[in-house]
Order: sequence, then C-alpha cells, then structure tokens
Amino acid sequence: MEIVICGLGGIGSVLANTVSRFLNSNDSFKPITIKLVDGDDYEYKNVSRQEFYNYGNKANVKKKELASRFQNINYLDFQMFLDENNISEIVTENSIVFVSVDNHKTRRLVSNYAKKLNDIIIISGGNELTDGNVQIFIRKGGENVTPSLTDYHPEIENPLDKSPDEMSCEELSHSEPQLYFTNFMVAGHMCSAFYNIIERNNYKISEVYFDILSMNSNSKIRVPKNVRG
Amino acid sequence: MSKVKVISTDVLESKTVIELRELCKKYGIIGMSKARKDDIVNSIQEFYEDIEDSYDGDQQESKDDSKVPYINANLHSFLKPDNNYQTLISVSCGAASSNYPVVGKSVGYVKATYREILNIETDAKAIVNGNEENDSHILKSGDTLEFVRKAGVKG
Repeated sequence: MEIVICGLGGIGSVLANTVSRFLNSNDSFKPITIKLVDGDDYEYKNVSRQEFYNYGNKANVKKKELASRFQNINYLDFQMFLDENNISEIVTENSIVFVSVDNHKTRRLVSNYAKKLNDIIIISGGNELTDGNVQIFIRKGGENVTPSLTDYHPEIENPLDKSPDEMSCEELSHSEPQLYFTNFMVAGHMCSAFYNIIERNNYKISEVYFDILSMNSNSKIRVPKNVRG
Repeated sequence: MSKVKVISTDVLESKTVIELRELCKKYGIIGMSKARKDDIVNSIQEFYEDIEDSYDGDQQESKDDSKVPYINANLHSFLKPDNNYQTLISVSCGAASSNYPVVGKSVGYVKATYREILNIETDAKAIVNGNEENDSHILKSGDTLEFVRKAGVKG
C-alpha cells in the first residue's frame, strides 16, 4: 500500500501519526510506503497545534520521528511543496493521497491530476476556525466513483488563493488563527474515511462536514459530475 | 390543577367568621383578618368565579393545542389542522440539517427562509436528490435538498 500525506500542518502532522499507528500493526497492508510531502519548516510558532518532536523541515522531521516508532513502514520525505512539476513523481497509480494542505489551489492540482489516473483515492480535508469538511474522491478503472474535489466546489475549481510556491516569505509567515481541536477533528474524519474505504469497502460517502460548536457531523452521498442526470 | 369544591352561598352564610377565615386561608385569599362576614363571603364567591373562568380558559387552550401542528426534526411528516399529514423535506447545509414543511416551495424560498438557521451562504449551490438545481426549482414530496457549504481552506 502506498500512502501520500501532502501537507504536514495542524491536520497532516496528527494524521501521519494515527495512520502510521494503524497500518504498522496490520500485516495485511504490507509492504507499506508513506510519502511525507511539505516544503515548510516546523517552528516555535507552530507549537500550539502541530505535532513534531524537533524543529526543521516538516517532512524530514516527521519521517525521522515516525521511522523510529513504526518499523513496518517505509517512509520517504519530499521536502517541497506539491506543484505541477513534481506531482507525477509523488502521486502515482493505486495510491491513497491525504490532502491536508492550506490552500485550494493545491487541492485543485491534486484533483485534476487524479483524473488522469485510473485508480486512486484522494481524501482531502480543510477547516476554518471551528468547522471543516473532508472530501473523498475515488477513481476506479478510469471512472469517477465519487465526485472530484472540484465537482460541487467552485471555490476549489476557481481558487482565489495562492499555492505555497507562489507566495512570498511574508505571505507564508502570515497565517489566520486556527484551533488545534478543529484540525484534530478534520484528521479524525479523514481517518474515518480511510478506514471505511480500506476495511469496510464503503465507497458511498463523498463528503463529511462537521462543526465543533454545534458538535454536529453530516455526511453526504453525491453523484459524480460525469454521471449526473 | 385539581378542581375546587364550590360551597353554596347559603352554606357560606351559615358558617362563622372564624370558619370563613379558615376557608380564605385554605384558598389563599388574603386581607380577610379584619373584614366583615359579608365581605368575606363576597371574596370567597369572587374566588369561585375566578376559578371557573380559569377552567374555561384551560379547556379552550387545550382545544387550540390540538390544532397546532407538531413538528419534530426527527419526523418526516406532521399533522395539519385539517387532519391531513404534510411531508417534511430534509434540508441541510454543511453540518446543519433539519426537516421542514416546504413541499411546493421553491429552492430560493427555502434558501431565503432558512438562511440564518442553517447558515446558508448566498451563493451556495442547491442540490436536489443529487442534482444541481436553480432557485426556481419547486420541491416535491420525498425530495432531499442540500445547500453546498464551501470547503474549509486551512489545514
């Protein structure tokens, strides 16, 4: 099984730990490779909501951290932001891609690239301060089983934000306030989606929303754009 | 409220002032400790009249209650005043969802009416039974309506 975790911030740094723990103790998924992708550094300002043992490039620090704990998994670190030039090297056929980035431009990049592949599973999460969502884009035999990340989301199809490689240092250093609990909820729902797909063969749910203020979660079954009547 | 046993005027007038004052205490009628016997009897009779009025009011209210349709988020239909059941439609936006009596209403009407309750963004896409529909689409019994909430950006 090949896993890609793209973005190791508040969501991805938690997700990498939990997915690793689950896979490491499950022999049926061997051999397991997890690709960790992030061009950003873990710094003191991230301490309040990101899980790392040391400072430095997030992909590299997380790789060392997890490799020492989970010996049944082969970790690869990609110390770069995902872009059009490197995506084919990182996202390949039959992989499961967790998209835990902080911009819609990268979500669109992954979604559009996945449409070129025959078999792939994309689990993408994002949040605002106290609510968030997880999208599940599955392709099997060259067909969309669930809607792509852009099908029902024009804000992803026509993103107004920039990808990290387009941002200045000043823009990269500026970030809106976030809540660790919200990041944690996104990571939890992404793990639920992962478990449903690989262990329960449940390919129906295409999106889950949650709100930590109302403590509600709501899953959606939607039809892919190409098969809508 | 248990019904008070009404004592006739003749019986009240046959009672002593002390007995009438005890009765006032029992009924919660105040200010009778120095009142004359006639005034005490009048106060007790007024008390009986007030009690009768409140019983009538309760019964009227109870009749009105039966006309109010009971709506619950877990139900898919509710009883109208004419004893016909009306179907509720599941309406959701993001994590929020509930059932509303909007059969025959347009998508635009639902968006405007429940915008604040369900936190629907003004440019939210409407999905009826999995298909994207515009604001003029009329909802039918059994439909499911979702207003698509924007995806979270951060991570």
